[in-house]
Amino acid sequence: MVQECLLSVENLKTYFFTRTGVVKAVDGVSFSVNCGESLAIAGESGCGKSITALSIMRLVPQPAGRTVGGKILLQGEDLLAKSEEEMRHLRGKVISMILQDPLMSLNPVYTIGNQVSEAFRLKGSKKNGGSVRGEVIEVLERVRIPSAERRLNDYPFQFSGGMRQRVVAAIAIARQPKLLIADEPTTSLDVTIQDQFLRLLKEMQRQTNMGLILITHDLAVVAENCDRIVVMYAGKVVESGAVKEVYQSPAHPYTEALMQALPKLESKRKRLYQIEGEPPNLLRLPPGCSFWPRCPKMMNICKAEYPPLTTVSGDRSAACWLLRREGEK
Amino acid sequence: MEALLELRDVIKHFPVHEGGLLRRKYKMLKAVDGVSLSIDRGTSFGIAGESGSGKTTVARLILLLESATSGSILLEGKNVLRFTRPETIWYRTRVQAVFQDAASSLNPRMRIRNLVSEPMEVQHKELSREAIRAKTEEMIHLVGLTPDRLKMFPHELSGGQKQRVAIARAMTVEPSLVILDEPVSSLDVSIRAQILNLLADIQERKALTYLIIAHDLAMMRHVTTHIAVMYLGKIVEMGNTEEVFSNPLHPYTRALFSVVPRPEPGRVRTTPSLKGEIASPIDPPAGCRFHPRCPQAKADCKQSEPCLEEVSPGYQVACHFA
Amino acid sequence: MNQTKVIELGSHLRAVNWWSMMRRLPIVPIILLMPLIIFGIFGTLITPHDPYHIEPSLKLTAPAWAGGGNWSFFLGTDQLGRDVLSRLIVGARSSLIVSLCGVALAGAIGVLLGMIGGYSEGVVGNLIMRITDMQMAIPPILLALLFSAALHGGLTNIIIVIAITFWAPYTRVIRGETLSLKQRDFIALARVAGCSPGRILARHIFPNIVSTIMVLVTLQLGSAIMIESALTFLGLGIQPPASAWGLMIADGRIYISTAWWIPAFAGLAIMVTVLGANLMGDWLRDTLDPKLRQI
Repeated sequence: MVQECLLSVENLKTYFFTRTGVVKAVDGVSFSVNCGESLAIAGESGCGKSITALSIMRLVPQPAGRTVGGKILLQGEDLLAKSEEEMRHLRGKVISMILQDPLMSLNPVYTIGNQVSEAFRLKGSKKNGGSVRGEVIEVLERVRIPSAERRLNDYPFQFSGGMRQRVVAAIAIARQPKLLIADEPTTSLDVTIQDQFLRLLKEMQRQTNMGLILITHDLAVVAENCDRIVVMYAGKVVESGAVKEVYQSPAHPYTEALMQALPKLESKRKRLYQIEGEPPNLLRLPPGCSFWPRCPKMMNICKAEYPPLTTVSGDRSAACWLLRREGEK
Repeated sequence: MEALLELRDVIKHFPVHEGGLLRRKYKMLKAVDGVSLSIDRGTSFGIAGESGSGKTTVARLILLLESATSGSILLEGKNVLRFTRPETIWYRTRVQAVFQDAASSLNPRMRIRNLVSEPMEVQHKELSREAIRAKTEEMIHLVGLTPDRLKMFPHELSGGQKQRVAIARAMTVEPSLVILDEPVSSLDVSIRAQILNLLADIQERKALTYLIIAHDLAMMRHVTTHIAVMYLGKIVEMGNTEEVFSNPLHPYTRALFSVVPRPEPGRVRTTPSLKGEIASPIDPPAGCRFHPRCPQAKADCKQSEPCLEEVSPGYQVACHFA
Repeated sequence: MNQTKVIELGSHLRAVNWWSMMRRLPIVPIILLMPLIIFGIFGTLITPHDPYHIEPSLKLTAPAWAGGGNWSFFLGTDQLGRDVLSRLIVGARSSLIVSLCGVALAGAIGVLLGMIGGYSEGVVGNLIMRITDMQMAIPPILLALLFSAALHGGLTNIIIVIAITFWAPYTRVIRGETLSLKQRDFIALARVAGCSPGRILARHIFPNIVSTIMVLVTLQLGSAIMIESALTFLGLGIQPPASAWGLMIADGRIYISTAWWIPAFAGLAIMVTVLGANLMGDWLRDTLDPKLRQI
């Protein structure tokens, strides 16, 4: 299948203007997603991954938050140049999003049949409740909800957590979007249910050649479900590339440290490798590279200037002075 | 090695109302349905399971936050559930806890100093203010925080620091057993290792026994010496961590281990996803509770519930075919 | 995490701007309540004339700007020749004391019952709630009338009446807050640490409901002043020769077409104060605890 570029984010900047200062939640982030590909945006809380997703959907909380720079090219068109009206047409139809907590994503007072059909009944598709029913059942079956027809009149509280998340997924893919953004979709699910859901996402991707952006902090989930990864720290991309290559030899010390600190199911009981320090406060970022206070390989230049994104090989890159030094040698 | 804590056939059922206004029915939510285990001094005993397994209820029962429907909980051989008030107060000096959400575990209106010293103030009223102050500072150092934090309020600390305070608070009265309910799952991944290593260090220094409740199996492998896997209110497999993890016998445990994602791209999974949903503890399936989802279920499994049987010294499994 | 909180906070705050900072302070309520506070504190020190001095020759003088007015009696005189402005100032004091003490006493009773009702399980909790429900079913004016008629007016009795009338809303709200606080982890951990229920209520629950109490007190203040004025108007509250706004309205009732200034300024004073108290309560509530918006 021809891998055409679906989404290309270039130097995206989304800042929050607060009473205590400017929070640069997303500060010059670039990456791309092809059709049928799944990209992981990995990082900890506060690194900017969720805001990146909201920026793409143009749903950044206002008025404090604003996308101040960069381009978001969806199939060649810049989303940042579009009006709210145009974005509304795109949301759900071309790009869609699912969030972490299915309980919060669903309205407790409407049946799930009603909520799923709402996806079909939106502006542009002049349909009423009756004719949509068949499509609703079909999409619920696609997400593997057993006895979908009987459950149309059930309310969200009558479903288990995993089922609810599937309903949310059904609403998201109802109109077959080209790109789906999933923000921590399995964090609130049990591990056996998480496994089912991630397989479902993969299947949905295969069916329609949909692009998937998976936002998570769980590096193990990324390894098993994504083709490429973008690692974020303090609002910037620190490493990106194919999952296989990045995991085999991480180029950025943060990525490396994260991998080492992960407890592994197969290894025996021993003291864990620990990363010193704490994730930074975005209002008080250290000068130079944001990671240097915690970096085991820190050099003097790291404190002075932020390292530029350097290509490691092919489409792999990382923002670290170590790579520059290597290149210069 | 003697058993520090023992649970014998502990049962906890919660009544739930079902039905509308007129036709109210009462059913029992069998959160914990006959759990027996034994924790030796100096070990780290883990209880793993998913939602509905009952693991959190077990912790709450041991902490006397819930009253057991039946069964006995023995600390050093004495039945805790039959304790008088003064004995219960003594019990509170022996058993402490650290919960998952550090932010919710600390009273937002109390300063760190008071949060850490409160257990001492309540349990040891005879101590002077200087003694308590000294102990508080000792605890703050123990968890790796600086004394300047003492005058702060919880919201001024980061998530990891809040959890350290929660740990300090638990350690102040020098308990024998500390129950850790998901101690790191709400913390950032880059600092989880710090807290786990801290807990291990404290355990060694103070000769503590831990009961760790969690769902993260990889983490459990690193921090526990013994482990029990629970499903729908019952223990399905229990034994030495090394034994259980290297060769799990119960189909649920095997499925769990296989389904946990690994940071190894391109790993080939040998077992398929577990089908179906976790049943509700209100209406657990008849016979073996796991049979509707078990890839190896046979006719027997629907009829009779398997008991925990020893397959090798200290290693028990509840399955007809283990 | 700190930065996530900052980002959430950022969504609700406006850009740095000294004008919006000024807007954030409760200017209007403060202006409205200023007279009450100044009058209440300084009382007799700032009256232009003796409020109790009867001067029949000067009775029913109009306010300074109206025909026949006199600048030394800025708001006119009443039927006994007493200076309206001075009586207004001194009357503020009675209203202030009565309302504050009454609301404080109501608060003390209501909060205590609410905390106990919310924290205890079973019979005690239910009993307290049923009593509260019954109390809230009785119209406040009726309750106040009955009790003040039985107790025959006077300052202390009015305070008691206000306390009896106003304790129930506190209990309702505080019980709800206590119930939800009870679910929080730190309460469970306080039990694990060995704290007695009394200690938990005093050191863990109470400090976390203080902001709610402050909001309730401010919101109740307006109603308390109204009830006090109504009772005084009906002759069941503060008795003459003490000065109170309700009394000025009662006395001035018959003069409403001839010497309108006697009841009018007192009525205006009540309105301004109640409005100020309510606005202050709204502002406090919005600033301290958005969860309370349904009150």
